[in-house]
Amino acid sequence: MKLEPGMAYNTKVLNKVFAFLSAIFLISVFWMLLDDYIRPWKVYQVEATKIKQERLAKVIEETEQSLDASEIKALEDEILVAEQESQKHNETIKKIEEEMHKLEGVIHAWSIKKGEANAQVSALTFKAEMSMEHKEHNADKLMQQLKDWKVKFASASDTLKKYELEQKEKKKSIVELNSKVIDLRKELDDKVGKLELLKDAKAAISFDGVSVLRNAPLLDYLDPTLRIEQVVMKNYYDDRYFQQTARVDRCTTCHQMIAKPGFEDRENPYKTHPNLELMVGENSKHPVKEFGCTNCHGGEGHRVHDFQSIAHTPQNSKQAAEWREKYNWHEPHKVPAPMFRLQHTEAACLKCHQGVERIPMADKLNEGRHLLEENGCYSCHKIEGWEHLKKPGPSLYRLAGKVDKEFFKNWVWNPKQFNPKTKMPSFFNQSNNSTPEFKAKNIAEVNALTDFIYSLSEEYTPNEKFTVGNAETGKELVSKIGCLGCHQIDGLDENYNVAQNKRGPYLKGLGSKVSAHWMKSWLKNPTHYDPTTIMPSFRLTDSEASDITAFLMDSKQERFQNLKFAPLDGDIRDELLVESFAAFDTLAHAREKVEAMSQVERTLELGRITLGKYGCYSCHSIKGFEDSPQIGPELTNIGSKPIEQFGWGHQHLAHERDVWIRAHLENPRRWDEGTTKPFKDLSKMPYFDLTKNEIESMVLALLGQVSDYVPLEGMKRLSADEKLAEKGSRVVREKNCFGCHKIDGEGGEILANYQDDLNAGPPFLVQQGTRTKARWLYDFLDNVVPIRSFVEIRMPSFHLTNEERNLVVSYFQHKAEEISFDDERELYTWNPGERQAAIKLFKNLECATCHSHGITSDTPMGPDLRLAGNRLKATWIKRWIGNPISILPHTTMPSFWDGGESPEPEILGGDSEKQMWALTKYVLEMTKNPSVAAELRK
Amino acid sequence: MADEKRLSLNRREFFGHLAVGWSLFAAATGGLLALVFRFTFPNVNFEPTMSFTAGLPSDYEKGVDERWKNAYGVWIVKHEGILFALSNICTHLGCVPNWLPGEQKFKCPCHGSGYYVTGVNYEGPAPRPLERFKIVLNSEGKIFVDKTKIYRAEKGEWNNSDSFITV
Amino acid sequence: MRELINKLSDPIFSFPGAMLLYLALLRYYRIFGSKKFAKIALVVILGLVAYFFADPNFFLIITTPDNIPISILFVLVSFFTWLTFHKAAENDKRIEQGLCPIEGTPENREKVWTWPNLVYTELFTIIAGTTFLIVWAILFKAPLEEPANPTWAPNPAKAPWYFLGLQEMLVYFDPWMAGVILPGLIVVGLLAIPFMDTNPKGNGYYTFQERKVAISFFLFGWLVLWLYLILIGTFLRGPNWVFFGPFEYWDLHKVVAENNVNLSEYFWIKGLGVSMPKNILLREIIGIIVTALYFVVGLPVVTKLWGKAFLKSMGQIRYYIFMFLVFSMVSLPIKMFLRWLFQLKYIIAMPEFELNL
Repeated sequence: MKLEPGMAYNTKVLNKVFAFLSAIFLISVFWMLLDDYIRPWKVYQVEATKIKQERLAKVIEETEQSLDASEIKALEDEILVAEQESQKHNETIKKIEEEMHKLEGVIHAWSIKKGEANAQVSALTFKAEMSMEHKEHNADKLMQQLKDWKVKFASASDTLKKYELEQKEKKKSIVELNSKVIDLRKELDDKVGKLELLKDAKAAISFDGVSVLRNAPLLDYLDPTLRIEQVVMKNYYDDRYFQQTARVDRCTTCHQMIAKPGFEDRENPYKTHPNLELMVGENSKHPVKEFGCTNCHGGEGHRVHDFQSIAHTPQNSKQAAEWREKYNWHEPHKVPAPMFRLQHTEAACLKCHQGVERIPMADKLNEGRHLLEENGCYSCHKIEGWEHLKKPGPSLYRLAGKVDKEFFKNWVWNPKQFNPKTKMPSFFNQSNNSTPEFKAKNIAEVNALTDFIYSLSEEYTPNEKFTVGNAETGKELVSKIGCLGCHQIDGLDENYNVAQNKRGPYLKGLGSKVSAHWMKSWLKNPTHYDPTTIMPSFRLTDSEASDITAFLMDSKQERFQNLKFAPLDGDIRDELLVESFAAFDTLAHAREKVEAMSQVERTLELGRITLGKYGCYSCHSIKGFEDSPQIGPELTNIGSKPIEQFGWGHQHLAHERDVWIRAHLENPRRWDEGTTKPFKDLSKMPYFDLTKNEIESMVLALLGQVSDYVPLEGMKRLSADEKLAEKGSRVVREKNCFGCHKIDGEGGEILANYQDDLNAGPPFLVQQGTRTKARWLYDFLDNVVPIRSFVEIRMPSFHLTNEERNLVVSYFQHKAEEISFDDERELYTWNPGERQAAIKLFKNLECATCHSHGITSDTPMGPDLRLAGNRLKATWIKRWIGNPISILPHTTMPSFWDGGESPEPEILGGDSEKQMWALTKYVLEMTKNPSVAAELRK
Repeated sequence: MADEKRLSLNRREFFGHLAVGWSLFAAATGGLLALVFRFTFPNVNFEPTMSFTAGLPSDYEKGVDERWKNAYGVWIVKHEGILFALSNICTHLGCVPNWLPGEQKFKCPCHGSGYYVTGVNYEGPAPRPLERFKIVLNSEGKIFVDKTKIYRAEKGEWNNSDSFITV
Repeated sequence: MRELINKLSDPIFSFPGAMLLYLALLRYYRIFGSKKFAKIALVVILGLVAYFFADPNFFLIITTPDNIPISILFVLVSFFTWLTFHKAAENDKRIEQGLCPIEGTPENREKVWTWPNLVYTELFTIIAGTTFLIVWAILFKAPLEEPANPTWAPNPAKAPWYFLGLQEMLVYFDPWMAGVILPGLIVVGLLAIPFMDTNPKGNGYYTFQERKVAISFFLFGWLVLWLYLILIGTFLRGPNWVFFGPFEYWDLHKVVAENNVNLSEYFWIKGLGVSMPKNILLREIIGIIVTALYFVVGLPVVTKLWGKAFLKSMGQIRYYIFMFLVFSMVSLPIKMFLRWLFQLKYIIAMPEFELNL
């Protein structure tokens, strides 16, 4: 191919190449534009807009149908007529408008004059005052100038006002001339105004030409309708490692309707948030504009690009598969905090609702925390804020006086063998220590441990001597007096087996565990054996205690009783000791050391080492080990522990926090599977045999333990009342008041045994602070006397310290936000005729039928009224008399003033209020002067 | 040395590859510049909320309502049959004026600018009235204030129907 | 098969292998530069690529967006190395026949106008390059990872690809050496090339025969040291900078037994059986002697055996600077071999001054 001279290439070819390259250049630029413009989230917004349009169309249709078309037509016709009428005023209006126009010019001119004067006044004020201050010679001149200008300003202002008033008048006159039309229009607007607004709203989100332009590529920088929506929170931060930046959530870009009611039946992201009154709604406790979304759900709230980038987490593998298909989802990588799985959302409540044991409405979270408490997780693993809880296991200070060594060894070896419902977990016979070699070593450990603990134990002799007792009576007592508020007991009738109280141990086989003397002594006075126990006394008489002892001792565990624990193998013991000593010394030295010890010394030393190894003192009080640090790793911030720091051993599990915690709770020893660990390095956490649901709840509770920084303004700050109530609630929970009493809707497990007759069970405590007098409650807790003699269940006598009693009383007071003392002075004086009315009411309403104490000899069915005045607040008595069912729906007390109508229209003029107060006053008098009851005998 | 045999432009080939090439190149470069221009306008700004719902018109009494002043810097004023939203930024140097109900005026503490309840300036160094924000009723009949759109009296924008609600 | 490839990829085997391949390249460059060889090699390589890509672990490494430029780099380097030798072989043949090189033929000596020949084609490359970058930017977006955490380093923490060679060198050398001195020498050496190169041949045309020493030494440093180390550092170093074969899964927990011993420790403790002397100079005397001998004795020996001609043509200053640079360059493979054969840590170890050789 001949080329032109001076040319290395054929120009035609080069031009072709140029055209081609430019073409692909343009295509790539266009591709870049499209890639930037087409965003996945826009698709969702378009869909959301369509759904909103649909709904608006529906609402518009409904509104239109609700309007009376003929009425509207009539109005519109009227308006037409009125408009025609006002036509004749056109000339006048035109003239006035002309005048107004002229006036505008005048007003404008005077505004300028006034502005000039204003400026001069301001400037001269400064100048003059300054020259006065510096005592300059022109000060007086300036002051005079200022004065003059002030006058000009005043006159200009005044003139301007005059003209403005004139303008106003003219405007008013026009309005008056058109008044009929204006009024009619307003009337029409009142009728159709809503419809117009709805139509406007629908038009605003329609996909017409304007919206297409607004959203067009390149042009959408002005004012697009499809745009990123965000919530910038001022009280919540993202922790960018020593730098807190305000959190911003852009979830509402796709979740457009999350805060709008009416879309509950849609699929996400077009769905309304459930429970809008609590979460997300404008008037809820957690409006989205203040709290955002990621505070509760986690995830990358500031990212918008597509479904994947936000780090949505599927609930389970089924949803994961769905998402893989639908959204091309894969596990998020390099995201510090992916979203919580939907079922774990409640875990997020914990970081703001701190310092309380139960968070209102967070049922799953509360359940999880309750389980953590019940199983005693907090005692081996430190969790900040849980330090006040008691050790979950019984004290071993005086173990030698309770069970014998054989029992102890077999118990420690396999607790569930004796008590299938025990909370004590299993250390031995687990998946990582069941080889013959390890088992033999464990046997040696248990033997040594027993000897060691028994060597630390104090001597103990029970306070009582058991001789005989009636087991049948004992069974009756145990079923009815209230043991079931804390315990479940083997051998009771079915109807007394419904309540699931677990604060105290499951009572089965006690005949094979303790002596009858010990049992009787314990029942009569638990603190004699263990001064720190929460078990109260039921004020049992000697025969009651004997009967109950007889019943409990009848329950035996023959097989367990006959177990013979393998004896201590001295060689294995020595081997274990040498291994332990050789950690910091040579084997030879270690052996020497062991040789130098006597047999007893060796056993005790191994026992001590074993105690330290398994950390028994974390759950049980053991002499000399009170201050030992908790054996397990701290869980305060486990929800924020980096994934890289979790050890997965050889388990094939997804590397996620909740997966690890779940796996760990299912079997803590699993991480040793497939390893070659020596005996001393085996995992030690015991096995708790939890159900799947229990584990899920506990996982949720632990996920909530995060280290996120929340400023004080963002946290739930307790009011003064709430703080004091919370302090008091610690005592109330520790003593397990909730086991018997339903306090403001929470607790009352024992009532499950009283479904047939709730009134036979322990009383509900509803707003107790408004009910009983604080002083009375305080004294009552230390000196329990029966209030309802017609029920068999007993309020036990707790041995509370003074501080504890105060806290319990303040718990009820502050929970009910109640001032402590009512002023009852007025209620001790009678108005004329009131006392007789009260007596008449008492007799007519036949109060003595149930409240018979001191009046008739009938069996009482209600509490003794002679105690009521000291016990109950007068305001509450009156409220109770007026409407008992509103306080206790199951009460047998009749509602005499049902619906506010008085049952005795003759007395006190039929005034319900007066009648109720009269009765209240009478009850107070009965308390002050119990003999008054006599006059009711007739 | 070979000037004679220059490449000459043949009219027949006007829309030849060269012209096409250049126009495509120009279009692509222009496209890139347009994208750069578009890039300078962010899709979203990291700033606090500039709009809010303010309840129903019936929630407001006649006069100046200060309930949104701290959260959004807005006074809702109900005056002579209309409801409007005034910005609380003084038009002099940007301080926040106080509403003095006794004297029925806004008074800026910095340099003494005074405004009537309508927002019109009448004393002190303020050069122009307070600005109004867009205020409309949404489909539920609730007031919606949008601070990204302002209306200035001196430009005649107070006649714009988005700057007030008739009540 | 995979196991074998994994094993052979370890630098202990692959580095000597690379050196041998390089020597073969230089020896048989005319075969290497032939079109036939290129075609066969292409087919073989494509087959290998398919085989390698089938493995999920390898696929994961090779398609990491960060590693794609390296792959492109290797493709381009392979092509241009082949092209160089192809043209050099052609020219060398012609020169042997007494002809002028191809670039010297009248057709190729003809002058052309810069505009449009150069400028127009430059415009093409600009457009093509821009398009390539735009398409790349769309297809492989910069990843958005987690917020930067100064308290946690990613594992492995890799330098940008152009420094991965140096990072790999860190395995064998002390940071001062691998990070400052040797790179410094590289830069200085590259700067010094025009001043040291007195060979007038090869100016404007490809040749190998006429510039054997220059090309051999340079390509040794470029291909066998620099690029090979980048290859290792990019694809075959995983968490904890442990070696992983191309088909190996990057297990975080893999541990390789490495217990390296200093030369002074070998000398005093293992050799003489005494404890290390307190005086630093005395302690490191063996290493100092060895290093001194390497240069002071090694240089004259090499000169005597092979360098006489060069010494004459380059002059003393140029020659000795050149030799110093060559010796420094060769010290890297020497050190690598010492490490693999003897677990040698440092020849001279002075941790008190944070300076080791």
